[in-house]
Amino acid sequence: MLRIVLADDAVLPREGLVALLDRFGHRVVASVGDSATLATAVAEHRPDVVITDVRMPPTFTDEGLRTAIALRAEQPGLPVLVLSQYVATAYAAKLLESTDSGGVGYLLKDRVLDVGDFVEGVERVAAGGCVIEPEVVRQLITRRNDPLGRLTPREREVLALMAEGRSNAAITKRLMVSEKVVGKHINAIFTKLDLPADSTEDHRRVRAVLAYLRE
Amino acid sequence: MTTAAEAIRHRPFRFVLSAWPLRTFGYAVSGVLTGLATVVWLPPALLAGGVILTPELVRPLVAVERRRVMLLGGPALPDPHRPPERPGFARWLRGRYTEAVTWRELAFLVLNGSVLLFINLMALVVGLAPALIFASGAASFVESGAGDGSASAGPGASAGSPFIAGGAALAIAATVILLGYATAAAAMLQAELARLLLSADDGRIRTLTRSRARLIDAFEVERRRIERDLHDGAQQRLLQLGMILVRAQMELETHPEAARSLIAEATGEARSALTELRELVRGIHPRVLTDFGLPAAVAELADRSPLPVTVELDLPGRQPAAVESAAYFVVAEALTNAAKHARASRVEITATLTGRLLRIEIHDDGSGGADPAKGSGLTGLADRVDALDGTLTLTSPRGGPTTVRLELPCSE
Repeated sequence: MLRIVLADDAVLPREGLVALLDRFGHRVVASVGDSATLATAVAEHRPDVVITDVRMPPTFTDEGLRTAIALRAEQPGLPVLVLSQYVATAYAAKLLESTDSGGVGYLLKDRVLDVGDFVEGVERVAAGGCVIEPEVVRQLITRRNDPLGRLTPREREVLALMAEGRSNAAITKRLMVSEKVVGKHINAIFTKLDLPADSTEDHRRVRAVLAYLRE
Repeated sequence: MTTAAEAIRHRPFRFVLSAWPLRTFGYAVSGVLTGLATVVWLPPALLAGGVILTPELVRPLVAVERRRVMLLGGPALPDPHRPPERPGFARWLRGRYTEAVTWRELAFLVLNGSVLLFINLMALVVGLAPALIFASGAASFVESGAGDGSASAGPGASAGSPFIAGGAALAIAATVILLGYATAAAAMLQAELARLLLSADDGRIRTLTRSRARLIDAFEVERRRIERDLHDGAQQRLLQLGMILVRAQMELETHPEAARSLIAEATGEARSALTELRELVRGIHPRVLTDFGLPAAVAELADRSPLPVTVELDLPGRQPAAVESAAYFVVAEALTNAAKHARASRVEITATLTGRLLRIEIHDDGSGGADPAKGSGLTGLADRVDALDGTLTLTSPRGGPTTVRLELPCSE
């Protein structure tokens, strides 16, 4: 069971999310509607993971994201999952740039409806992993189509999964191949794209891949 | 299409060999003609029409002047007189005589019949002079050439004349170039004077651009409002709906009762989403206004208001879409304010169409004290009304009552 602090200024979806997480055996210890209350709630409850909407009062711009980054600066390693109504690669990038350790995630709010995936994402972030919205990755890969032409279709698939923050084991499961094959694909990708040969499974890899895609 | 002003910046040869020296010369020549016409027409017009009718009597002359600048490239000067907003001779007369441009037109004509006429005459004489010299020079050259032809064997005679002819040709060429520039400059200065005196009232241009800029701001604000409404409304509702359905799906096998109540909840959520979208769509542009016009749309606004609203609209036919839409949103905003801020107990809406002027008045018996400076929705609407050449006035003393008065010209 995870103890979660949830921030979203829209009450109805927030309550819906509380009910969903509850159904999966996690407990929302505080659900708040603005970023100031979010900071207080985090200080008070010391949650396993924070889930916050990007857009919140008073400015209705990226309050939630900025609060998340500030919270992580104060408490390095605090796992934060940021949700947004729009696909914006800048959100993901900002979040990844914020610190080195601890779980981070950026997902489209609609992802909540793929409830199994969503809850798994929350759990991965809580466990210190990295979760990036597949839609963001898809857009980046489409944009970088040309230089990625050197990759085989299978390698591109692996690249996308890496960018989403999946571990080697998860990629293996997803593609239904052996871990050795996945390892070979990853090596090939790193060589072809001339990425720093740092294929440890934390979010330095995600960051390297995303940085490459965003270039 | 270039203009004289652009052409004169080209290299001398290109300019001189282009049509522009001729066109600017044409401007000077036509200036002589219109100047003479002014001299002939203005004094009797002043005598016969006095102050009242002279502007009307000289109107054709002014019209010609506005078009004459086309000789220098570019468009004719726009006629800045505002169309009369109300019918009636007295109103028309007052409108005409209070416009500064009416008197600037007279000033231009006086200049055109005096100083400008003199300048243009000079240009005409000087411009024609080289042509005359050239023509007579060529004639005498041909004559002498013809004379030489019979005595071509004479050795001394032919030695000097090519030099003289060449020198004369050079001098003529230089003069032509200089005169070309001088004529062009004189013509352009005159056209600039015409532009200053005969085209739009500067004050009006300024308000127009300013209100256009504010209008763009207002559109931007409006777009943001729509985005915000969609984000906070329909999008959240649909998300909520999705989450309820997900939960229902999970309960379906094990707790069918719970699933059933979740589905009922989802149906309610879908209904709310639809209502919100409908409201939003109506806020963007009401269908009933497009389909049935202002009276029907205002009646519907009145029906939806929580206050008792009396509507008296005397509007035959349809008005231009922009007018209808601006009027509709002014009424909507006034009704919202009356219900929300003024705590009014009743509202009256009256509308009339006099000539081409639409007048709407929204009167409520509320507490008044409305201040458009405090970011009221009426400010944005005032810009919209301004852009349509209308006026929006708000009378709202503290303690009430409040009257919003809208006047919009319905030009075809």
